[in-house]
Parts: sequence; structure tokens; C-alpha cells
Amino acid sequence: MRLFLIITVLFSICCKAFCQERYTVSGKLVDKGNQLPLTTVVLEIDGLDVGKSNADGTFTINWTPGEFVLVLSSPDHVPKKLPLVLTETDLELGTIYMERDITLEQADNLISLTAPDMGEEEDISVSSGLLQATRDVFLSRAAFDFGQAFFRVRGYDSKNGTVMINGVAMNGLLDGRPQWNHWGGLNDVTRNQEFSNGLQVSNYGFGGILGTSNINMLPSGLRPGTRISTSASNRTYRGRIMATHTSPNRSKGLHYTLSASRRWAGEGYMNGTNYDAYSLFGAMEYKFGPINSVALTAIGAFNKRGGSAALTQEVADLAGRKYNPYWGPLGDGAKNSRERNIAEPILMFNHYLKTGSFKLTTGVAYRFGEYARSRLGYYNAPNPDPTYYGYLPSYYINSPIGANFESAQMAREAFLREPQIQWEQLFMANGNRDPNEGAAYILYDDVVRNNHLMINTLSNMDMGEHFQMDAGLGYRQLKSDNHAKISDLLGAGFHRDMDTFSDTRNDVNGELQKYENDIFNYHYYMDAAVLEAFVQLRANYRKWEGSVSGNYTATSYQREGLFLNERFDDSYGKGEAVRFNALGAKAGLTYKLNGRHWLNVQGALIDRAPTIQNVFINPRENNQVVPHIQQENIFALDATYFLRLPALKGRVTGFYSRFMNVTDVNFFFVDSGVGSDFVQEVLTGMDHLHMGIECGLEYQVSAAVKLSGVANIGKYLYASDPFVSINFDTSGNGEEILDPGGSIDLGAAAIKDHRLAQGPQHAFALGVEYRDPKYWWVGATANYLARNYANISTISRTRSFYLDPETGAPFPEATEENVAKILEQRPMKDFYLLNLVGGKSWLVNNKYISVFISVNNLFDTLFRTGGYEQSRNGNYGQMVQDQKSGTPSFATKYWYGYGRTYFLNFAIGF
Amino acid sequence: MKRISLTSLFIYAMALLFGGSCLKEVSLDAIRPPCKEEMEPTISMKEVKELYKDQVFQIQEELFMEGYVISSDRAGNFFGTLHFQDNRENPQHGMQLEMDLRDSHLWFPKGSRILISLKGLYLGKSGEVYKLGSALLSFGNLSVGRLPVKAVHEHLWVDCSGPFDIVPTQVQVDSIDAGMVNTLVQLENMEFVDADLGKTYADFEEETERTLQECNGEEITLLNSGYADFQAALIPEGSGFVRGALLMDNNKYRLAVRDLEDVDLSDPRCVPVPDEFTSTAIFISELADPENNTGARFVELYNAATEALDLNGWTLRRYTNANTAVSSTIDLSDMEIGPQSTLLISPNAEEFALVYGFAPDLAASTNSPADSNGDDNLELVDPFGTVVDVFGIIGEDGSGTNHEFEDGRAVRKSHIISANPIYTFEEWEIYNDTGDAGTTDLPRNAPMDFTPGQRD
Repeated sequence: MRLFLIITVLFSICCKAFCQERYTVSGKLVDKGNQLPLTTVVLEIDGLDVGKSNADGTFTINWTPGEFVLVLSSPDHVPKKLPLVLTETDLELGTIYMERDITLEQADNLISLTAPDMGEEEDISVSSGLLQATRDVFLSRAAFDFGQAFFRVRGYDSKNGTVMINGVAMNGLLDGRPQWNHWGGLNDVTRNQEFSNGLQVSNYGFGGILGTSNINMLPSGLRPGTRISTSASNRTYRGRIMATHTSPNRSKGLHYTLSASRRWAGEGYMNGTNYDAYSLFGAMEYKFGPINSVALTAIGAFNKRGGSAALTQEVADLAGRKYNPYWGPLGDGAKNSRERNIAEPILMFNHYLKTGSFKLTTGVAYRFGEYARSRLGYYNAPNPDPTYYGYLPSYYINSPIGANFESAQMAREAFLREPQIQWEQLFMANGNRDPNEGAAYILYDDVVRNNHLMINTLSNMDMGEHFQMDAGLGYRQLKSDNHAKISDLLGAGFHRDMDTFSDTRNDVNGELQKYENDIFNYHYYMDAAVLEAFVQLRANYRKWEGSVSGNYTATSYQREGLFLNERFDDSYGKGEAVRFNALGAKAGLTYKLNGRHWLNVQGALIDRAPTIQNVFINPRENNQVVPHIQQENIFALDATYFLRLPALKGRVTGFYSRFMNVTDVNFFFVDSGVGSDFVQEVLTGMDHLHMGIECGLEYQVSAAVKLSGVANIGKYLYASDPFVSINFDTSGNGEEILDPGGSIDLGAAAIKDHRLAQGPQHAFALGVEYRDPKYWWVGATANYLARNYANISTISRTRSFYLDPETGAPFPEATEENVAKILEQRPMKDFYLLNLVGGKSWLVNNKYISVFISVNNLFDTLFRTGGYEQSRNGNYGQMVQDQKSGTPSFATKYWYGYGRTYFLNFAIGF
Repeated sequence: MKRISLTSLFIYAMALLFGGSCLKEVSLDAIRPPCKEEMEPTISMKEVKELYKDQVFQIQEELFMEGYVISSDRAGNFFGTLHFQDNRENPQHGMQLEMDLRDSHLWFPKGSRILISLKGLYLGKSGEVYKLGSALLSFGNLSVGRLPVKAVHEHLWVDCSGPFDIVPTQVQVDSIDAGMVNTLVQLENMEFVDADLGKTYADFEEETERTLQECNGEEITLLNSGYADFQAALIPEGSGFVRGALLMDNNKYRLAVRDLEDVDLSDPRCVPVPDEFTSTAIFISELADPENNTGARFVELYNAATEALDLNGWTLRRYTNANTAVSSTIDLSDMEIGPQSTLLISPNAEEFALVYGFAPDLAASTNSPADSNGDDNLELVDPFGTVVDVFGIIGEDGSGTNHEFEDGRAVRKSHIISANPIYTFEEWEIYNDTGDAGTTDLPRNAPMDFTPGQRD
């Protein structure tokens, strides 16, 4: 707080020195095509936000005499730069025409491109969606070109980015990430975004260290008129139709926007990935006058899609990059066993109060509905996954009694002939099952029913001409109902709700026999509440600007079990409430050498509560919380040099961020040095380090030709050796239990200096764009991506890896040197991608018609976007045996990127 | 291009949209059973067996063989094998498939009719057991290995109309032959041997053998898995039938049940078979106390019947001198006496062999009933305690009586063909060194005055 005061005082002193006489610059902004006035066009001078156009397209700004460039930017239009000379008199610019940006169609396919399927074992979070609004060349490349390779800006998880709709934060509380599917397919109404990169101060909140994006969905911020578009692609979906209508702009009264879209695919790029989504949007805004307005918004994005899996090298070699074991042929079509079905509509009410220097934005949003993920359950029956290790050729090659090449060959041929799930066989198995035993196979959903209330109020206050103060208060409350639900018994009479390994009941108080639509296996509520307050002060001067922000967050989580699980005493009822109180602060300073060269330094110290998924060890079965759970501490620092020459612009940023005391919970089956079991692995005291340089340059060769170059040289590391413990149930049925206490402390995992699996750490792009005056354009980018690492298994980096589970003593051959050799982390292969985009638009009878096409990965390069080491081989002896042949059964699993794909879009606007 | 027909543009766009999809999503209701409606074999199991010459080989022809599944891993007693025979009843042949598929009963339950596509499978034979499967090469020897899971579903098809009732072949242990291996058999009048009573079917996680016996005593091994559901169940003590797949390993037959429905031992245990018999055709035929050699003493018994007799439970008792209590006993239990044959008992087998030129049937100890000095009394007693035959009069020292054979010989007259529990002097010819009471005073010397092993 003391620092805050000092800066405030400093700013006031500076004001005295620089404040001068001001004159107005005014004008009216009009769309060149349909002659309609342009609202909410952002006005900038020397990178400084100086205002927005009004509802009738007019604008007025106050500025000091001299030479400067006024930059006009709007989401739909080509930015316009007006070099002006202001003498000591007011300047009236008259009508200024802005040209429709024909490249904006590109954003239409962004989310479909970068929301790849999430694996069950490892979630992928790519932040590209966050970046679509930016005109920063580095971030554009990151979103549009690197995104397909799962590149993450600065190596950050997307939970470090805050996404807001009309000022209300939308990040989920379970994993902290924004869930793009909640407004997927509504591209027309999400185009009006405001993005603050990294630690940059945002108008809307304290934000995350990756950045803050506010999506303005108010009808007054959208382009009036109607737009109908239709797309064809071979990425996640095959087709899309979308229509949006926004009522004409008026300064008073009622405004509305309606939008709807549908996207579908029998099969996307990956085999068997069906896609069916429809989205509806309605917003009404009522302006009481220039000061008060209210808005009511309803967003419904319903999305059902089939998943695809990460593959081992062996499986990818056998079946190819598009291979997906999750689906199976059925009748004359296909059925995917891992579908995601998201139906979580959002209702929102906003109030805006705007006087000359004060703005108060209040929002109440309620999100409800269901997020379900389907999967096949199997009970005393063989694993239905066709890539289960026992079914693959490597099983016979890696056999402990010696390689069996004959059987390996048979397994290979059989796999190639029938590589998919055999639905009919599952039905047959259920039919042959003893009727008293219940189903051998069922299809079920892991369901999360959320009731999420978000309340937010934000004030922006201009304090004199150089200062702005923002403050906000937000409250988010989540009640989620988590359970598994039988969706199809696959011909069986009922399901017996038991754990087949320990022969114990999952729901002691419920029925043993469960039927379709019954809740089984687990059932619990998760309650979470977050109260957040922030305040920030900004100072803007001709030569420099600065900001300082602070926030306070109080978080509480509590689980309530609804099933009494026979394996755990603390499965039923409410568990302890876990509470966190966190403080954060950030500050930034920009110094402008002149209008063309700026320097900027920003830093942050932020505490934050771990997300729910890293607080509860095994929430499906008990109330256990990670012992001595701590909040994460983030330290982030970056420095940027901005260049804004008339033809050359860009920036270079160096960044250094450290995440400390990170907690992580994973689960898997492991054959460890201390025994074999299905475990929950808890990592505590983990530090991550992200550092590097990012650089983007754009050179306007001529009015039509633009060249760009972008580079990211990062290093994202584990920066500590975290402590590892494993947890398991102790209700073995005659089987050996690792420890009667249900938990074993494995000590530290030696992972310091290993690389984080956060996408390619090196990325380079060269781009060229030609924009013809006759309304067509083409662009090409050549991209090189390298230093991408698979997620490491931490349990195999603990001392337990050295132990022979048979004897409990270390393997004699497990020397430091041998272990280091077998566990060495190697990057995935680097690769080049060439992407092409192009488009053309026509103006016919006041109607815009546009065509846009993009072709990604023109040369059909095979590349991996990410992966994870399987933790099964948890002891040295087993890993050596498994790796002898070069085709391990428990090899690292990888996601493969798309080959050559296209996206084609036709649109009409009127 | 100034005038573009919007309609044509959209028609083109829509064509693009709907043309590209190559896979449609369908509902689970579209499921059809994967079993086969009609399955015609092209080769019989007998013919398949004949394909085998002398080593494991891979079948290259497009051949289809039918079989009826007789095993089941539902209860966990079978693992990694599927056993099948060539007919629902009266099978002539059986085979087994080695495989990696677990819980195979979910697709191939017992009684199902399967059609096996033989092309690509390996055929082998170990002992009398014909096996199909994959191959396993170890130390240069090719054997039949487990068929990979996905290959099992490729090679085995199931007939929709099953499963069928398989009629087990009724057999007795001693009528089992190698042709019945891998067929379903049922044995009646079975029970577990006494030594196994009180045990579980199998030890935990160990393959365990238990022994079944027919009431007539013929035995067969019951093979149980330590992973079976019924592993911890106590074996039943009664008798009844046991049904299962007949297996063979190391030339030894074994029986494996699918589950405990195959075991019905609810009847009382078998009535013990009599193994103790009495007979009046057995009697003492010669007693020897040679004057020249006490080491050459012996007792000869004779079986006058035309059938051999097991002497289980029989004893020979000696009452020394005037004793009324038994002085010594010889247990004849392990002996069998042939029809119209003798049984020779010697207290000094070595001397006996030296003197008479052959070994006695039974060697007894000195002072045993076979070592009498001629004034003692002997009784032959059957298993039920009845005195069947006697020499002398109990309580009366033989010296100077009509039952003294000191330094001599007592021999049953050759026309005597039946035992007599009352001593009757007339049945005997007696030589001694006194000649009292009608005996002959004529000491006898070995070997020339004796006839061991011969009935005059």
C-alpha cells in the first residue's frame, strides 16, 4: 500500500510539469460499404487509448498541439492511421470512411482450430481463443499459426488468462480455465473483444498473468445488420451455418441481437470424431439515455463431439495419425465411446452507468446445465480399448519369457484388420453374462451439473486528465453435482454397482442393482465460493504511463459426499471447508522515447488458491484434501521494447515467471517399487519457471504487401524437486495392500530442470501478406516449431523407482547413471508448417459478400502436439524390460496434429 | 463477377457442406448380434487331427471346423484355453485352443457351437492332446502358443442358435481312453479320497490337484485353479457324479470342472468294499521241527480251494507248551494264498533257502508260531476272529501226547481238504522222538524227510 501511495504522489507531481492547453479533434466514422455510422471504434494516439466513437459514429478527443498519429481501430475494419498536425485551434475532420477488414473472417475458424480434443488422462489447454482480438503480430501468429501445434504463449496454461463476458469473469472454478465451448459457434457476437496482454493493466479486472480478454456482447457494440455465413472444413467439423442480426444503432431505446449457428460433422479430421453443435444467442439492451443502460443476454451453446486419443508410437506407426481407438463401427455408421456433451447456457443481466468521467458496470450471470463425458465401463470383462497393451504386438515382443514374434505378427495383423471398438461384441458379452452378475460392459457419463452464479461490479473513474482509477468487486459461487450416470446398459438387465477389484460397494446406502439413467459409482457435491476485490490506479502521460494494481481473493471449497463408499470412511457427508486468502499486486511502467520507441517494464507478485482439482485427492470417493495445502505464489516480470515506425512495427519482450508451491494431483495405475495399485499421486512444493524472449515484427513493404517475422525462444522448466505421495484404497480382496494407512510418502521427485509440457518452447514464423486494392488478399506463413516435450511421470523420478517390488531392495543395476539414461527427457521432433489464407469480398447492392479460405499444414507434415509419459513402469526393472525391444508397451503417448486441412467460408452481410 | 447469383453461391456452399462427411453417427439401437446365422464346416475334427504329422505347423488352407465348447472360464477354473468337442453327444474327438482372451465365456459360453477358421492357426500335439493357437518358439522348438485376443475374435465365430446342452459321455475311470481327451465326460459313483477330506478345492492362487476315486477304488485327479471362484470352498464328503472336461498331461488323465454345478457329491460316501474274507479251505498242512537242524523249522498252510484268497486279517497263533494265552502271532495280512497252493512260513528264511533250495513265502521271527520245538499248539484265525484250524490242544503241553512233533514232522493227511477247528489226530501223520499216543517214533531230518511246498 505504501508503494501505491508513492506512485500516486509521483504521478501528481509529473502532471504539474506536463499539463498543457488542449484542443479538440472531432469527426464522424462511417463504414465505407454500407455508409452506416461506426460505433465503439477505439481511438488511439501513440498507443494511448483516447476514446471511442459514439452511437452515431461521431467522436471528439482533446489533445495538445503538435504532430501525432491518430489510429482508429474497430474489430470489423482495417485500422486507419491519420497523421495530424494540431495547431492551437480545434480540428474538425469531417466524415472518415473505414474499410471492412476482409481478413477478419480468419477469426471465424480459430476456436475450431485450437480446441482439440481433450484426452481423459491429460487435459490440454491452449490459449489461442484468448488472443483472437489482438492486432499484435506475435500474438496473431501464436493464435492463428502456432495454435495448431498447441503453442502456448509464454508456456502458460490457459487458466492464467481471464476471459470475461460483458465484464463478468467466465473462468471455471474446477480447473480455473475459460471454457470456450460455452459460447462456441457464436463468432459473430464474440468478435468485439478487448484484450490486455500479459501483465498489462486491463479496464476490466486484475486479470491473470497471461492476459485478460473482455468479450463485449452488447448489441450496441456489434455491427448492425444481418450476416449469414456458411462454412466447410475438414478440421473438427465439416460444416457450419451461422446467422446473426443486430438492430440498427440508436442512442436511446431498445437494441437487440439474435444469433444462431449450427456446426456438424459425421467425422472430423480424426477418425470417428463426430461433431454436433448448435448455438443460440439473444441479447436485449435498453438505453434509458446517455447515462444508464441495461442489458439481458442469453447464451446457449450446445455441443456434442466424439473424442480422440493420444497414441503411442507403436499404435501411430500401425494405424496412422488419424487413428482413434475411441470409436467403433455400428450398423452402417459409427459410434464414439467418448463423447463430450456440453449444455451449459448462460443468462446474464448487466447494468451500465456512464457519466463523463465515471463508469459503473454491474453484471449478474448464472450458468447452469450439464457437462457430460461418456466412456465405456467394463466389469470382470476384458478391456474394450483396442489399444490396450495386451492386445498389441509389443505385448508379445516384450514378454518377460522372451519375445514371441509369431504371436506378435498375428496380433499385428488382427489389430490392423479390426482396430476399432467392437460394439457388437460388447452386446454379445452382456447377453452371455450370467443374469445375476449384471452387465459386463456399460456406456456411462461422467456428469458435472453446475449451478454457477457470478456477480461482478466494476467502476472506472477518470481522475483528472492523467489518472484513472478502477476498482471492482466480484463474487462467484459454484454448486456442482458430480456423478456417473448409466446411459446405456448395452443389452444387460442391470449394472452391479461394485468395485470389481476389491469387491466392495460404491453406494452402500443405495441399491446394488442400477439401471439406465441411474447414478452410480460416485456422487458428490462440490461447493466453491470466490470473493475477489481489486483496485488499480493508472497514470497516462505523453512520455510515460504507469499503473499499479492490487487484488484480494478469498476462496473456499467444500465437498459433500452423497454416496457412502465401502472403501473409505470419509466418503459420505460434508468434508472440511478449505479456505484460502490471497493477495496479489502488479505494476507496470512504460516510457516513450518518442511516438516510435517505447519501453515497458511490468512485474507481479500474486498469491492464488489452487484449483479444486488440485486440492481434493480423490473427490469421487472421499473428502480427503491434500495435507497442508498451500496457495501458489507467482512472481512474474517482463520487459518490452515497442517499435512503431511508419513501415515497421513490432516488439521484443523478455519474460521471467516463477510459479511456486504448485500442487498437482494425478491418478493412474502404477507398478512401482513399493507395489502395484491404482493410485492418486499428490505433488506438493512444485515450482515452475517460464522464461524467454518473444519477438514480433511487421514490415509494410508497400500498400499491398506486408512481411512479418515472429520468434519465441522460451525455456519452461520444473524449478524444484516436489514432494510426492501416493494414495490408494485399503480394501483389497485378498490382494496385497501397499500400506494399511492408505498413503505412502515417496519423498522428492528429481525433476528440477526437466522441461514442462507446455507446447513448443521455440517457435518461429515468417509471413507475407498481399492485400489487393480490389478486395482480395492472400497470406502465407512458414512456421518452425521445436522443443516440445511430453509431460513427465513424476513417480518414476522418486527413489521408489530404484526399488525392486519383489525384494524391497534397490535393483543392483539401478545406478544413478543407468536411471538417468533410461529416464532422459527428449524433445519431440521439430517441424515446419506452411499455412495459406486468402479471401475476397464484393459489395453488391449494399451487400457484403465474402469468401475466405485457409489451408493449414499445406505439406501434410506429420507432427506431435503434445504427450505424456505413462506412469505404469514405476520401477527400474520393469521399465528396462519394457524398453528392451524399442517398442515399449507403456510408451509415452502423443497427440498428433492435423495434416493438411482447409476451412472455407462464405458470408453475406446486409 | 459484378453480378453474382446469391442462390447459386449458397447452393454451391451447401453442396460442399454435405458432401464431405464420410462417417455418420448412429445410435446404439442399431446393434446386431455378431453371431453367424449359418455356419457350415468344411473339415471334420478327425480330419484336422490327421493333418498333424510330427511337428507344429501353420494351417495354410481355407478350412472351417466346427466344435462345441465344453469349457468355461466363468468361474475362473479355466484360464487361457478353450476346449471343444466335435459333437453335442457321443463325441469322437476333442481339441483345445490356446488363447490370451480372458473371460472368454462372455463370447464362447459352454455349449456354444463355434466355427473355427483354421487358416493361419498353428496345430500341434502334445501327448494325446491336439492344440490350436499361435506359435511359440523357444530354444528352437516350436510349440503352440496363446492366440492374441483380437485374433481369437477373428478365428472363432459363434452360431446364433446356441448355446446347446452338451450330453456328457458316461465313463468309468478305467474305461477312459485317449480319444476322450478334450470331451465332456461324467463319472458316477465318485468321491474324494479320505486324505483330501477337509481340504478346499484349491490352495489360494495355486493350481491344486485333488484326488477323486470311484467307489471301487479307481482314482483320477481333479485339477482346480487357485483363482477359481470356488477355490476356498470345502470339497464335499459325499459321493455322486463329477462332470468336466477330460484333460491330459504327461500321459495322466485329469478332470476339470467348469463350476460347482459339475460336482454333485450329495449321496452318502461309498460302502467300503470287503477286503477280508474267511474260508474253511485254508488249513495247516505241514509242521517241521527237523532233528538235525532247528533252523529249518517251518509251517506250511494250504489252500484247498480253486480260487486264491487274500489273507488280509488272518493270523497264526502259537500257544507255547501248556499256555492258554497266545504266546506269539504271525500276521498274514499282506499275504495271498493261491488256489491249491501252499504258503510257507519260516523263522529263519536264510537257513530255509539254504536247506530246501528256495525261499519261504513269509519270513517270521524266532519264537514265532513258525519256530515251534514240537510241543506247542497252533491256531489259524480268520479276520473275524474265528479259529478256522487248529493243531494240538490249547493248554496241553505236547510232550508225550498225540500232538507232539518234536524233532519230527506233523503232516496233514492228503485227503483232508478242509480246515478243522477241533484237533483231530486222525487227520494227521505225526513223527517225533517218543512215539507216544499213536504217533510214530521216527525223528526226521531236513531236507530229505520234509516236503515244503508240496501236498502229497
